[in-house]
Amino acid sequence: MNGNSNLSDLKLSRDHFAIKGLIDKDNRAFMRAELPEPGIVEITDIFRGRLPQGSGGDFIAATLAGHHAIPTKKLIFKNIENAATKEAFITGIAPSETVLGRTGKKALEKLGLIPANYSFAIDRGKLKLIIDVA
Amino acid sequence: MNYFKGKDLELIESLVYNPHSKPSYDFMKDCLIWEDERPEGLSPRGYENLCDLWIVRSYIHQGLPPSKWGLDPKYFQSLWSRAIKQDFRWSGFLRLKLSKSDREYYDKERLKSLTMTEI
Repeated sequence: MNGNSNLSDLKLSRDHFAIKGLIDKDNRAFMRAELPEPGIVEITDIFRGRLPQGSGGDFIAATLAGHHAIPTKKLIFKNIENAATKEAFITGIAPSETVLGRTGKKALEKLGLIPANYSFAIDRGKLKLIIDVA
Repeated sequence: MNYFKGKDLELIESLVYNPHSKPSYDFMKDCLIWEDERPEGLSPRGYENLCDLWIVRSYIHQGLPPSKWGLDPKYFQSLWSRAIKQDFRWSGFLRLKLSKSDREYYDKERLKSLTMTEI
């Protein structure tokens, strides 16, 4: 299928444990997050699909806002295996300078929040990127 | 110890394999995921276990030996061995080898991911 999809086609869904965002007629666009505590959002999946490049942060923000799941304390990207992000972790590049760091910053700012601190952690063999909110 | 249990196991085994399904590239996990591999309603632990299967399968797709599986190869080797030993039905086990078109898609998306500045 040709052409970009659009955030105005955002559909929200949820199950007992997670909130999700989907884009109508774009079955490759999907995001999922878990809410372990009030104010903490853990992003487990973000697929931009045919949304324009650079709109991942907007997709996250719109989904979180739609679910009233505002990360007032922390926004966390879980289960990171992306090669460039792992390389950043290994070589000491600031997490804020990674694709996920920038995407998270954009999402938070779109929600009117200010990212205060970025860090990496290893959890169950995988990388996490944690953004503390001011 | 079983890899999946209870309701999570039921949900995983309730998935129906669709041989015509096309994969999506997951930037965060650097793996391919097919729609028929992700049930609704998994517990957070169950979902993370499913993510770990996708991640290990991606190492297999990349042709990596177990000693090079991620930041903690022992963790991934152990979970894969537990999952295989339990012998549950999961559509994803039917895709340990990629078709030519899926391989091309995976390689293209992985390459693109290296030059991305934002999702």
